[in-house]
Amino acid sequence: MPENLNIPDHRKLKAVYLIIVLHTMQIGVGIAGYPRIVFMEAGRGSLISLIIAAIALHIIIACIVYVLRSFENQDLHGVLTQFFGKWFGKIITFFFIIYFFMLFLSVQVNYIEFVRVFIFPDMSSWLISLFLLSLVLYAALGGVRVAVGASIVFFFGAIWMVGLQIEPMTYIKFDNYLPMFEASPGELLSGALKTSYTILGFELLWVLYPYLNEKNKVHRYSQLSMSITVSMIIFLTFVSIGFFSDEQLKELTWPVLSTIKIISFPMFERFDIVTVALWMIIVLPNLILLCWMTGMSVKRVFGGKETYYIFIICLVAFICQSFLDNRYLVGSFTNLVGQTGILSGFLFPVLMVPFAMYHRRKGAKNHGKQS
Amino acid sequence: MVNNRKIIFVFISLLSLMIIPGCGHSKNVIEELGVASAYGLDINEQQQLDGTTVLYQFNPDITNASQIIRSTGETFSMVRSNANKKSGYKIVNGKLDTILFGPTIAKQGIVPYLDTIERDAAISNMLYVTMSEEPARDILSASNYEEAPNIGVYLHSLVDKSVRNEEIVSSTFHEFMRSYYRAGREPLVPIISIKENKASIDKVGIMHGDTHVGNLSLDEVFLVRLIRDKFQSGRINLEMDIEPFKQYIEESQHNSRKDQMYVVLDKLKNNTQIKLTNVDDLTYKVNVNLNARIIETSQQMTLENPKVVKILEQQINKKLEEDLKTVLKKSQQINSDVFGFGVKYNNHTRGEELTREQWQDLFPNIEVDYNVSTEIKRFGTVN
Repeated sequence: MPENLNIPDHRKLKAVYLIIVLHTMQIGVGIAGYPRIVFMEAGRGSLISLIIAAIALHIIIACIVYVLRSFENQDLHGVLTQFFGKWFGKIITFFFIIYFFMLFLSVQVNYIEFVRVFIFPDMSSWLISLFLLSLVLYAALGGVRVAVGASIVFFFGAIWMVGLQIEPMTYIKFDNYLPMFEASPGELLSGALKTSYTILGFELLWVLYPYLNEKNKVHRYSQLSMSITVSMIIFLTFVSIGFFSDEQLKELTWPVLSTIKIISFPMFERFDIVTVALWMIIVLPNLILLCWMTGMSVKRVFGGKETYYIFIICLVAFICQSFLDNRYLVGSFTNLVGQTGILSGFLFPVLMVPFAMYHRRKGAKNHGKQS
Repeated sequence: MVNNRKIIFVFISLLSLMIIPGCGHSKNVIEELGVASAYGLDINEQQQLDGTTVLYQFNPDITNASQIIRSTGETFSMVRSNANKKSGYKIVNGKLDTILFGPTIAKQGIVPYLDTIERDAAISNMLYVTMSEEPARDILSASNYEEAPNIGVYLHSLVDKSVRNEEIVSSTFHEFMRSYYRAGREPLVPIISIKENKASIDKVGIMHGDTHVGNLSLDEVFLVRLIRDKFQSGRINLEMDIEPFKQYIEESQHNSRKDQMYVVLDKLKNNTQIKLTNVDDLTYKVNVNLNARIIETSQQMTLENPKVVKILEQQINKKLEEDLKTVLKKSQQINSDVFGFGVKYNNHTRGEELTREQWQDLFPNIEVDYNVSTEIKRFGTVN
């Protein structure tokens, strides 16, 4: 049985950082194309789909925190080995490592796709990837405190971009929302399932938990973070649906970026280009934290030094991105990650709850015997 | 020591951040670019696209910064690349702000030529889609374009000013496509015509999908806009019967020769509600509440008298209701729903999305009951 992770106090983080860190982890490349994806499934019921997904999200967070709090100071790997024994735990964590890596890769290739469509059509993807990964390496090698610090800085660097939706809001036609309750429950549900890729990223909590102070506040702050994410996605989806007519929305790959296309300042004729460039600020925390948590999980399974693993992860990601260089592949890969996310992000915590309950009861019994 | 090395490292990285980009994309040097500000498209006798490209350059040495290039091709992109062959400048489309379709294309449908604008992220979504009833190349070769650098910029400011002054319905590419994809509210596209070598807008084209099927005069556009949009400070010129006002018109002018009078309303604001009262019979009730101020009357009346204002308001209501009915009839004859009644119908029916064909069958049979109520807020410095 592995010992509790012993993290010295000076390496720990305040729980309040969770509000920002989890939020920046969730918002990334998915949101840019999300309104179309959900609209394709649920039509004008998209917002209802989104709310269904949001409720599920809040429940999942409650589950994750419940499972983690059954132990004093364990991360995902620790929890799994406690439940399933050493080897089986390692195998499951290994699957999670692959899943984290897929998320990492999908964020990267999607962002490269943005840049190549909007700004530099003839820029080679390996160059963009090199730029991204060098920044990721820099932050991830610094350890958890640098990774979290970077995402907080980037959060404040990017949050103002919500304000860019004000001009598109003036173009909203309210009859684009009507008739509102048209979609069947099946459509609403599949819309909610398609939301998965956009709101994935809360898995960070599994890995970050041992590094947090004030464990009793973790639940509160992570729920708050989820509600910030959800309200932001609801807002962006609302604007996109009102801004485009239905068939038009279905034609666009990245509706959120297309809404920004109408903004023009005297000194910036085309602000969307600036926005796509600045989107890197939104994407970087994703990449940094994913890289760190993948490296951390690998270390937990195989032992050894985290630094080497982070280098290897970046190298593999650098090689893999060159195979995902057309829209079709990027799209289907993203889809695949989204579907994997439904299992490993959403379903997995629920499955863990019974084990955690069993563990708690056993712990209570043991405790009872001792006294 | 370590600290020193760190500082040097940071310094070198920052320096390289500034210098390295210079090695990258130096393909577009601004003096070597021809910035396309307008395209005009026609179809010639060989059924090829006949494009006119209006360019301007940022080279400070040039005196005539405007260039017009004609080229042909099978697709819009071909036209663009053929224009490129005829110019010493590299033609770029980042500042494209007007696209003009000649009558040959407008009759066939313009959307096939708009695809590349939507697909190419380099082209703005805020460019204006316009049409003309003369060949587009004739419009673009007009030589009088005020102080603008070229005809493309002039056309853009012409349309943009009219949209801002709420004289026409905005037809930016985004809004055109939005109406195009939405069955039940047809796009309206301004028609550029040329008089004495100068381009101007004096009517607006009614589209059916993407084909040009009829025209509205600017007065009619006001009425359409009253139903379809919101005025912030509109202006309208109303011609009215003098009869109801006869007793209030001041003595000195009583022996006026005319039996018509004119009232100009300014700073007009409206609030329009469309209600579908009966889904099966397709009867609508439209309530238009508007308030405005009077800026000109052709007859002197004592507007201080509330009775006069009341009569005036009633007359305006009656007049607008009649005019709205006429425009509706006209659009029903063309069978193109410019008001957006179809969208309202779709909002009330669940299930199947309304298609353009379905609405085409239903639209000629709809009945609309207009109810306009005007409030005259103020009437200037004279009573």
